[in-house]
Amino acid sequence: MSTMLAIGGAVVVVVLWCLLAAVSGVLGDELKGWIAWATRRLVERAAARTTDPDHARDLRADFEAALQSPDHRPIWLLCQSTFVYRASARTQRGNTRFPAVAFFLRAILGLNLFVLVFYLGFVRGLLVLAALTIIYAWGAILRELSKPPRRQRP
Amino acid sequence: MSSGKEFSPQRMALLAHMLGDPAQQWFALGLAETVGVRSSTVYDALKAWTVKGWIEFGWEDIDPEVEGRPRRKLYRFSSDGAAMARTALDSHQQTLERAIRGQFQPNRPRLA
Repeated sequence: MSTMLAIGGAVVVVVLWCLLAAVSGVLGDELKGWIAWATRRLVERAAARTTDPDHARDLRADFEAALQSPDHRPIWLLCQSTFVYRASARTQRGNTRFPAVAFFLRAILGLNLFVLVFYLGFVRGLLVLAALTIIYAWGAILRELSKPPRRQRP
Repeated sequence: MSSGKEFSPQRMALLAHMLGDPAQQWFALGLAETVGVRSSTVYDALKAWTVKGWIEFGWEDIDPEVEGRPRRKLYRFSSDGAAMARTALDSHQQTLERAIRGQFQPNRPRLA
């Protein structure tokens, strides 16, 4: 009986191991595909944000070449694309061309809010405004958290 | 006077690695992986050093159709780029040494 149990246990372990190997391979390939997609998406957005067309072309070429190379590390590349994306966001914030665009976007947003309050009525309008304020504040908090810590004066 | 970013520890590590073999060619992501710094730092540094004339770039000599991937931008030191980089690093190191010596001088004059 104990021999049968041992053989049965070993068979179950082998079957489970094979199943796990098959599923992990499929899942791993699927995940790699999604990671590559996310990497390309971040690099595209970073390239779109930069005002230097040469740098945008370099970014696309470098990351595409890295993604196509057979020995690339998907997670490492995803991290690098995140860094490039965040750097481009910082550059964009410091760019003098974009405040004018931001001003017009805010003006359009303000107009929309006025229309919203006008049609929804005072209380419901206020509720929507409160919700939007919370969302905006949350975004501002997240942006603040993503900045490096300020240097403390001695 | 150099800015803080010009000789950040990451940039110094990058430059030290490149000066280890000045005749070699590098691509940005490869440098980031080898040295262990962020790719955004590498791109910024390479751009700044290209403007200074320390390094120059060219494109990888491959056929993208055959390789199935786009060409990489390759960077290498310009003819006197490595010497200029070494001089700048030396100057920065001397500044640091002076600062360290100044920090540990026992009889320095005190302000008010």
